[in-house]
Amino acid sequence: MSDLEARLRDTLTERAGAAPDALRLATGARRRLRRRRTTWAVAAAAVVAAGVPLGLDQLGPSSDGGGRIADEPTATSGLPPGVIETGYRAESWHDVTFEVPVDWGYGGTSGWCTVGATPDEALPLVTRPDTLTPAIACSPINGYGVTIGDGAALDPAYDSGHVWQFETEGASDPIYPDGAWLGYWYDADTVVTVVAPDRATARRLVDSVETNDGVDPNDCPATLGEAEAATTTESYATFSICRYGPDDLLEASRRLIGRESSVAEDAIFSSPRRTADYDCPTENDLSRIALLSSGGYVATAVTEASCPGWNGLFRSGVVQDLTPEALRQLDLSQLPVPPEE
Amino acid sequence: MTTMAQAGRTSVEVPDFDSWVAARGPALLRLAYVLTGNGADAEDVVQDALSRALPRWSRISTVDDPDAYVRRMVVNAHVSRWRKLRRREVPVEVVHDRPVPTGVGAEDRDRLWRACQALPPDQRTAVVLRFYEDLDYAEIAALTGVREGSVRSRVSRGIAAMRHDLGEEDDE
Repeated sequence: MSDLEARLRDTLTERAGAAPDALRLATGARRRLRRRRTTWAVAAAAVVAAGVPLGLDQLGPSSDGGGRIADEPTATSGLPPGVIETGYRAESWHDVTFEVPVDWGYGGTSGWCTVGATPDEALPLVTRPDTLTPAIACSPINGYGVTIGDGAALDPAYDSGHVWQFETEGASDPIYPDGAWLGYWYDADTVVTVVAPDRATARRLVDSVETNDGVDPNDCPATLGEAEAATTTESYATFSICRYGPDDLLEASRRLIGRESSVAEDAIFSSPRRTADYDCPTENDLSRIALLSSGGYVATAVTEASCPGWNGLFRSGVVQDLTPEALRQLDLSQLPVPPEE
Repeated sequence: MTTMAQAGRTSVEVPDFDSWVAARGPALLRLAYVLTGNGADAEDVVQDALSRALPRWSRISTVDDPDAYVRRMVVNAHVSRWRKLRRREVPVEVVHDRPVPTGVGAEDRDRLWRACQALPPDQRTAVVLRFYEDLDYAEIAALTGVREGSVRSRVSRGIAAMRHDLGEEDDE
């Protein structure tokens, strides 16, 4: 060690003594976490132009009985918790999970008017807080689907679980399709709003919303750390794709079985081993995708880093470069790739 | 590189978040202080890292070395923070290009400190981890997510830049 290096060591040690007191660090961390979640949710809600919660507190049945209430619970699938009825799939956000018909797509609340002349012609869409919605002047503003929003921003007129019918009569700029059935579920952090063409569907989906203590029906835990620690729980072959945000909280999940599972695994794990050399700056705000086989953690994928060196498939100390086909399989903002016959 | 290690399933006593922060917080703040150069930024960096560790504490507390895990988060928070704020960053006071006497007197320490703070963040981070944390190059590489060769290069260039700033280019 040179003289300069020895003096530098001495200097750094001496100057470190001027660090501030560590009082209330844990309290400050908790406060910051709450603030970041709130700020992030508000910012995301602002991006999702006219998200479904817009005006929900004013859209209930009028006092003169103009709207129709249908808030009595109806029969759900009757299946045990965690088991999804055929024809439905589970969607999750953080620790909240609900079911939607398997053919419902993904996109912004006004996505209907980019594909059809009326909301009935378009596929209902699942909209997450981070879904970008094009600023298109659609009328009505929202089509059919389910929207996840910030529960803290909601000033609800009704109890969580309420379902009612929206009426456009008298509205100059309709927010929802004429006659649409609305329903919502909410807690302190999250609101899930359903806009369906019929009462039964709205009721069915609202009643399906629940919070998870362990894993969601797709086998994805609510946090990345839990996913990385997961060990095999299923006795049959499943493949779960769990996407986590920079705050390590679950943002989307999917479980594949049978041929869909093997096709996806083949596409992802056959990606070529990395040969290029990168020197990337640190990126703290990476989203990560945990991959679980039969409920047990097998690998992590990163797909949206700005420096390509952070992107890839990280499995047992080996890094693989994801192919376009692998990226498509990992993209939870699109419906699963149907296996070729 | 993304950590792949799985949490052990053995029954071990893990510290709760508050107890761990009370015990390890001062050391994290000292590291952050020598990385950032001032107390306010050090607190900001450590609180940012801890707020990210908090939601997954049940996982972090069971890894082999939670201290290293959170130290890495502090280093990442420091580098990330600098990248966000660099447009507003004010250069440190100019270091005069003149030799200093041997020995580590107060004035010498001041000049060494300023020269270290004047380094680009990537170099400064590597230098601090090498000479304050006493980590070897492989450990720094693992901590900062770059190759060992890059770490060696950053430390070497950092020391060379400091030597130049201090007018000690003939020292060796």
